[in-house]
Amino acid sequence: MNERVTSVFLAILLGWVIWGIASLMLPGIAALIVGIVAGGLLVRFLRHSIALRGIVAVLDPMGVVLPILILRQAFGAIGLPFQPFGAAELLGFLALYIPFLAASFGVLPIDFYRVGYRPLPVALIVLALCLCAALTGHWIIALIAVVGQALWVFKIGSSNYFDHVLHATLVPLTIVVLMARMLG
Amino acid sequence: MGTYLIILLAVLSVGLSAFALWQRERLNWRFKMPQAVTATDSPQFERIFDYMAPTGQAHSPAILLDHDEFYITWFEGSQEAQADVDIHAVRFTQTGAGWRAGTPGPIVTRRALGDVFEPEQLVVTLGNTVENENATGGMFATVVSVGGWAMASVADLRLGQGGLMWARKLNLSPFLNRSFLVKSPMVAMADDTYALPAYFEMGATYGAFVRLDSDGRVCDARRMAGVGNKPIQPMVVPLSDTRAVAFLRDFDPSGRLLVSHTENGGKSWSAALSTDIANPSAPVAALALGDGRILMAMNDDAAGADRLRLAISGDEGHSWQVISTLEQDDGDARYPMLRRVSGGDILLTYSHATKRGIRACLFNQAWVEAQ
Repeated sequence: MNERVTSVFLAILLGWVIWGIASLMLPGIAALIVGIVAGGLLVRFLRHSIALRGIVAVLDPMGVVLPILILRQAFGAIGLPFQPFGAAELLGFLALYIPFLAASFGVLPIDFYRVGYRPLPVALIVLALCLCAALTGHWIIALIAVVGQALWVFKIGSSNYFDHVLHATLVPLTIVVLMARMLG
Repeated sequence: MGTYLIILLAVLSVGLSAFALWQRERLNWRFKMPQAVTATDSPQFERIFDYMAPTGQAHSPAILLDHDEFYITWFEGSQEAQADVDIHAVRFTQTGAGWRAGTPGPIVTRRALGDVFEPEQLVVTLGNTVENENATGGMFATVVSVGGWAMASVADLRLGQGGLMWARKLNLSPFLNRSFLVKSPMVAMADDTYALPAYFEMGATYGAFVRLDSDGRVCDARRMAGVGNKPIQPMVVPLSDTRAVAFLRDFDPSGRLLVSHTENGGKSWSAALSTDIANPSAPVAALALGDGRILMAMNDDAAGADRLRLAISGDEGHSWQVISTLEQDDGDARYPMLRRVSGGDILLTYSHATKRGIRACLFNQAWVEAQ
C-alpha cells in the first residue's frame, strides 16, 4: 500500500479504536468526533514514531476491508441505516476464510491465494461477490470487492487481490462479534 | 437504492477487469539457459576475502553483480535475529593484479530501511539477501518487523549512489504477508524476467518459485511442497528450457538433502523427496556448468556443518563426485552462494567459524575441470 493511502487507512483504524474508548465516557456522536479528530492528529504528528511504524509493519497490507467496515459502523452511528451481518453469514465467512488461510500455511495442498494474482479469476470473484451482495442485500460486500479491485488493477498496494479485500484480523474480530451476540 | 448501487459496482468491475486483462503480462514458462563456458586458461583458485566480524556474528553472504564489479553482502550484528543486525557489504573491483576488496561496512540499516519503506514501517532485524537481477541496484532482503524468522517478509530494495533509496515488500502470503524468506539467487527466464526462489517457514513449510512482472511485483508463485519432510531454501538449477532441479534443505533433521523437479518451466514442481546426499539441515549452492553438469557447494555430513565441500555431477544431479574440501573442523561453514562473475570465473562465498566471519573464493572453469 502506498504511503498516502496507508496513512488514511491508519487514521481510520486509530480513530475507530479511540472512538471505542471514548464511547465509554462520552455520548455517541461526541465520541465519534473525538475518534475522527484524534485518529487524524495521531497520523499527522506521530506517523514517524516507532509505535505507528510498528502498527503498519504488523498490519500491512491493510486492504480496504477494515477501513470500509469501520466507516460503515461510523455512518451507522450517525443514523444512516445499514443491515448488520447475521450470525449465519459471519459463520459462513469464517467457514470459507479459515480454510483459505490454512491453505496458505501448507495445511491444504491447494494454493487458493495464488488465484489472486490473475485478472480473469479475480474478475469472476468480484462478480460473484456482487451477486452475493445482491442476494443478501449487503451492498457493502460489492463496495469492498470493487474498491479493492480498483486498487489492485491500478497497482496501489498489494499485487494480490485477496490482500485488498481480506485481512487476517477479520478472524478474531468476527469471532468476537459472534461471541458478543451469543452473550448479549 | 442498494440494488442499483450493486449493479453500478458490477458494471464498474467489468470495466476494471477488462483493463486488467488488457494490461496483464503473459508469462513465458521457459528458462533461459546460461551460455556454456569452456576452460581455456590455466587452473586458478584464490581466496579473495577472509573477514571476521569484530564482535558478534556475520552470516549468510550473497553475491551482487554490478557490471565489471561485484559486492558480497551479509547480515551482521550481535547475534542472528537480534535487533542490532544490519546488512553489510564489501565491494570488489578488478585491478591488474586481480580482484581488490574495498572496506567492509553497513550498506542497509534497519532504521534507513524503515524510512524508505513504502509504506514507512518498523524493521526490527534483517536476514538473508539475494540480488534482484530484474532491477539495477536491486536486492531482496529478508525483513522482520515482529517475532522471529517465521514472521519474516521479503523486501524488494533499491540501492543507488546515495545508498538505500526505496523498498517495498513482496506480497506472498495472506497471513499478514508473513513467513516468506529468500536464500538463493534468481533464475533467468526466457522472457527476460527473473524468477525468485523463496520459501515459507511456518508450519508445514514449502519452497516457492515466485514469478515477478516487469514492475517487480509478484504475479505468480508455485509451490515446492514436501511429503513427510519440511522443504525450505530451494536452490534452482535449470537443466533445459523447460526442466530444472531444485535442491532443498530439510528443516526437519532428517540428515538428507531434498530434491524437487519441474518439467514445465517451473509451473509445477514434484514433491520434494530425500536424496542420498547427507546434509545437516543446511542450504546448498549450485551452478549449472552446461551439458547436464552441476557444481555444488554443500555440507555433506549429516552430523554437522563444519565440513564444506565442492562436488560435481555429470548426470543432472543424480550422482555426485566430491572435487574439493574447502572447510573442515574449524567451526560451521554454512550458507554458501555460487555465482559466475564477469569474465566467467566462479565466485563462492560462505560464512565460516560458526557465523563469525565471511569467506570468498574465486576459481575458474579450468580449476573445476582439473579436480
